[in-house]
Amino acid sequence: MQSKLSDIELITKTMAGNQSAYADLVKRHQRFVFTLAMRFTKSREDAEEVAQDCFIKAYRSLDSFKKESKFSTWLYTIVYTTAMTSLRKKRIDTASIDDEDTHIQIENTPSGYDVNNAENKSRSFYLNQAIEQLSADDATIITLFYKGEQSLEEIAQTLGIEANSVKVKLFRARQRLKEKLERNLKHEVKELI
Amino acid sequence: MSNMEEKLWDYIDGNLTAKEQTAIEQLIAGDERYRQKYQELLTFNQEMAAGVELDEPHMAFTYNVMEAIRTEYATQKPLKTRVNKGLMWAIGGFFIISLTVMLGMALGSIHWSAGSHAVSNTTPLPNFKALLSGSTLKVFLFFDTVLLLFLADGFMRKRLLHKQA
Repeated sequence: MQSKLSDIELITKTMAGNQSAYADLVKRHQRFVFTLAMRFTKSREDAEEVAQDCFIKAYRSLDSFKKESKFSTWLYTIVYTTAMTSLRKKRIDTASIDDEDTHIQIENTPSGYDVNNAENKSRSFYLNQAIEQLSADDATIITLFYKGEQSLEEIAQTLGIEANSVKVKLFRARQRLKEKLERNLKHEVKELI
Repeated sequence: MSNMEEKLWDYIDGNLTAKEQTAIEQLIAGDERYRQKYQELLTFNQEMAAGVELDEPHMAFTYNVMEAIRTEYATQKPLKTRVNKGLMWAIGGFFIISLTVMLGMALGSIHWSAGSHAVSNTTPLPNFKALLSGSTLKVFLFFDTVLLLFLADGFMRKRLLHKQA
């Protein structure tokens, strides 16, 4: 049985003209890229478009990828810039972490819970729902840190900011997520009573 | 509050030096507030590590990406393969020959003895009039025409492919 090839090995094969190697790379990273795109677009159709665009861009510029860093970090940088550009094009207000107005807007978003199925929902469900309610920046940092296996330095590279700023942003994002999760759970309990 | 939380998060994330780490460990061991907060944050951190889910794109996502790439590269080959080296050499050669001929003609038309001081022109210049005789000029023009046709053909092909795409 063939052992699983590393990202770098797949890239080398792709650059030698083996397109199926690139398909393997896409399969490996598609869920994460799609999730990141979803954090920005909040719509599956748009997220698929952005994610597809990212993989095509990455394919075009594979020869500019320096193998010193992780492929995922390089790819997430493309995802971040593409998603941001897409957002700007659609003139959606991208809320920054410190944007209190957006914070309030998100707080007022209806939870949309199905009360009858509430007892079946796991805490993981509420966690992911709370992440969806966060601003794109907060949700992206949380996702990169917990699911992207990215260090603070790598996240800083992806977002084009200092590692210290990432630390502060991560701290605030966690606080907001915690608040949201607690509020959603309280709301759910109230609905059940 | 946030200062305590910040410290504890740094501790959980492993961002502290050994000395700072020991200090936090002592605080957790000796301060009830710290202990409770640490447990709370640790649980939350574990939930996030295990509970954050990734969304799944459409089943045909990989296929769509690869199809888009194949379509793009079928109509537009990479720059490296698109550039015909032979053509580049031909164009380069043409310009060098043109420049040499023009320089020769310019030099040939100078009246070296026209100045106040007589210039001794010891190096005999080639007879450019002979070079520009009927047959040389015809070869030169023929070469030009072939190059022009070559370029026009390339341009038309590109346009046709673009239309088909």
